Amino acid sequence: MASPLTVDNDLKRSDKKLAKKMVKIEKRLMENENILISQESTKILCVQNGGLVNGVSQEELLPLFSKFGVMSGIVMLPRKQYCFVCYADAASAALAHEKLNGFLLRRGPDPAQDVYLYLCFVEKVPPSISPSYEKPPGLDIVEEFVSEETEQALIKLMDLDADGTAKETSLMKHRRVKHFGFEFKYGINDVDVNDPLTDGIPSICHEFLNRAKDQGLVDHFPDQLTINSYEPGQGIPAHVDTREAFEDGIIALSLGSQVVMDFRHDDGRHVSVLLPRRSLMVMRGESRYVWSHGITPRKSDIVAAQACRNLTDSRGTDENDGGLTLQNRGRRVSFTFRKVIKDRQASKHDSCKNDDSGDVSLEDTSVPQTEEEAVALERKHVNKVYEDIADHFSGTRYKPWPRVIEFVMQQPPLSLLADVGCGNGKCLGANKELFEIGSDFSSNLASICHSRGFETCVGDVTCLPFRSGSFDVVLCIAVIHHMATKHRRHKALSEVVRVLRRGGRALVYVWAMEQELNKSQSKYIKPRRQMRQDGVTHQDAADTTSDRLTCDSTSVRAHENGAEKLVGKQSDKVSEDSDIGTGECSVGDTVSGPASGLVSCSQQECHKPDLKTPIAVRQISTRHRNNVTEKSPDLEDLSSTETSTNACSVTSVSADSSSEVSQASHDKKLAVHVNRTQFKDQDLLVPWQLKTKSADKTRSDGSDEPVKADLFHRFYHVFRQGELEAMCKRVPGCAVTQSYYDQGNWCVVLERL
Amino acid sequence: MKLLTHNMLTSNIIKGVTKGFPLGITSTKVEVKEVDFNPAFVVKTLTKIDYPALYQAAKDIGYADGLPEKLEDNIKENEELLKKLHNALLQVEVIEGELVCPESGRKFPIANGIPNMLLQENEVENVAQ
Repeated sequence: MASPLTVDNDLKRSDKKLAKKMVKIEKRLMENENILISQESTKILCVQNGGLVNGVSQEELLPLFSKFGVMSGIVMLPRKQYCFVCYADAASAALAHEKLNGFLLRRGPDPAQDVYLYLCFVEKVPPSISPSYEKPPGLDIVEEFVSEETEQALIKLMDLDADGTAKETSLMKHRRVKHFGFEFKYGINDVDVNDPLTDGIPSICHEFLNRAKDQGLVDHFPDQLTINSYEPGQGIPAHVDTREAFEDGIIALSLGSQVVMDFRHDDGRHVSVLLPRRSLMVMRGESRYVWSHGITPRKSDIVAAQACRNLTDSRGTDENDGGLTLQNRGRRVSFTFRKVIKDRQASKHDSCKNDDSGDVSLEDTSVPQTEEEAVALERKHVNKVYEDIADHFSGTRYKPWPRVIEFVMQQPPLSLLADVGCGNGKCLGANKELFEIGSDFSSNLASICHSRGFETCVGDVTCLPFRSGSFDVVLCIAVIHHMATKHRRHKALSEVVRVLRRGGRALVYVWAMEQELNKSQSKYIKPRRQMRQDGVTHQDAADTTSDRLTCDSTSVRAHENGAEKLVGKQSDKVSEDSDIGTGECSVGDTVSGPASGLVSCSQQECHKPDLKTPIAVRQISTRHRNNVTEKSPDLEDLSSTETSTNACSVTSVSADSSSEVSQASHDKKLAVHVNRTQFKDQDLLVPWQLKTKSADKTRSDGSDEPVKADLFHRFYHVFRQGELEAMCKRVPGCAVTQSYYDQGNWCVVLERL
Repeated sequence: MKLLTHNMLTSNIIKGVTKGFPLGITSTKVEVKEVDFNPAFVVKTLTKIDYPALYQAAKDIGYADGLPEKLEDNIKENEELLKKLHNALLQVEVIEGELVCPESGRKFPIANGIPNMLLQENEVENVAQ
């Protein structure tokens, strides 16, 4: 035992330390939460070092703090090193303060894990994100969906020896399972559609399944049932039900005991949802495809205590109404009903639903070798996205490029002009002396163009629906670089020339491989700071907008977000167009950087939210097509084998081992471009990120990061110097009258001979 | 879709279709929108378009009143006719309807004034690569 004097010294020292600590806490609370520390006792304690960041859970705190009185809530905030403990009365809080301030919550083998709790009184708590106040989109819980009688009968189904007819169950590592309709094979995470079980969905389930269908909870009558039996302390790892295997709309009954299910989103959101006993959980849409769900193995859950409902603190904890209690788990039997997708080919169309990471769409994305593959690639990574983001796309591009307009203005009055790939029609309407028709592959963009008063049709640049020789002028701006093979680029250019009358002129812009020419960087890669120094203003930067957006599997997510949530105006844009104000333009994507006041989309920011793997290694399963070589009429050989192989070499190529040749140059994976950098390859996927602001206020943890991030990939073939001109030479009747480089684009003026 | 636009369109992009022009029109909704009259434009444009196709199209949608089946040489002086031609070329718009390929019978929808000329992949002639 230490001498009294020593104790005094220690106390003094620790008092000082504590006081210092408190000042720090006070400052932090004020800054982060706008919450003042109270010198008087209140009902609410802020518990420093008791936050999620410290690895502290409600489960740990509840037993500790509940000793001192009736609690009405524990508010945990993501990424914070404090939490709030709310009592029904100030006296309990004061008692807890007295006993627990400076309390060592645990002393693990690793001293770094030690947590000392420091407490102070506060008047209010920040809005809670605690369980059950938020649910992943598409998730529904229908309470009391089956009666207690049905519950007991259903549980019997699971029990082996209940009546001798029960089927075999298998003991998983952490739980017991049993299947009806189809066996779910955990090895492949799928069912064998050709091998149904003799027992379909038990008839006892038909009543409530029909009810679920009638109530519109699901669109189908399920044909596969998995029964899980969980003993207290058992759980199931986080997972997303195999997307290819089951239709949207998965429902699960919880029987015997409640449980808290954890839903997690890739962007870090985590929602705990209470599944009460005899409730039906319905997972659809985002909750089914995007969020993972799992059950943490533990023996109890924190649930709202009905009895404490009237003890809610009135000064800001109403969201925690009802208080919390720790409820032990009993044996829980869950009935999960799913509808097997039998036609797997057809379901591939839905592969857009198919991803957590936002990027599964890239799985098959390699440099196309055949027309068919090219068309498929363009459909997915060029055409489709316009339909989904047309509004936003259009909203971000309203300024035509100066040199394009200059060209249009030079055309003789009364000329007929076709703008192929007109987008929203931003190049149209400048010269009132012309009759102009726009055409675009995207019907949504065509609609926008038409609504602005321009004649518009929906058409394909590789087979334009116009008569030969019918136009005096053709514009083809930022279009041909989206064609995925030389042959198709050639075809598109040939079409431009074909529809021109003799002597007619066309202006063609394509994105350039070279983003730096004569030591001058294009705006695309020029750092924003420098641009500002160069006199590019905020507004200019905001006017730069992205051009071709490509849809991939993220389209569904874009849908789910709803177009209205897409960020327009000045926020979150990746730009690709011109700064009209400075006379600069770029077909490519300039990404608005932070210096411009826009949300930056640098490599990291672009990818982190959705992708777990770094870009360089995010490659795509390999197929071998050694026999297929593109034989294009376009003979200029500027292919980029060396650069692309480069890009490929970083990747972990999951090559088909049966293949004789392991690294074939033809079998190039499409590299994913890093925005605002030089191109490493001519054929690539350019990421485009759409960030949307958080819709739910529950994430008010002081951080203002956007919650949602949708990643798109557009296919581009960026042109090397001379490539466009060489291609023109291969088109009969086509003469290049002018060629130039304009802000990262190769441009030619053509004349039809 | 104005009839001037229609005059530029063809369905010869369909595999096996050689001319694909002029496209037949069936319309369920036609609107007439006023456009500034520019006689010079009409005269010039008439040299560029296929007049019989314009006439037929106007007839198809019921707006051929006063249009001659064949154009005389001296239209320049005939302002009344020029106005009618102006109307047919630029003011009459097919809002809802269909374009019909004269050879294959393939129909292309016109919705909200926009003809959709996209083809299925199997309808397109794939030039050997």
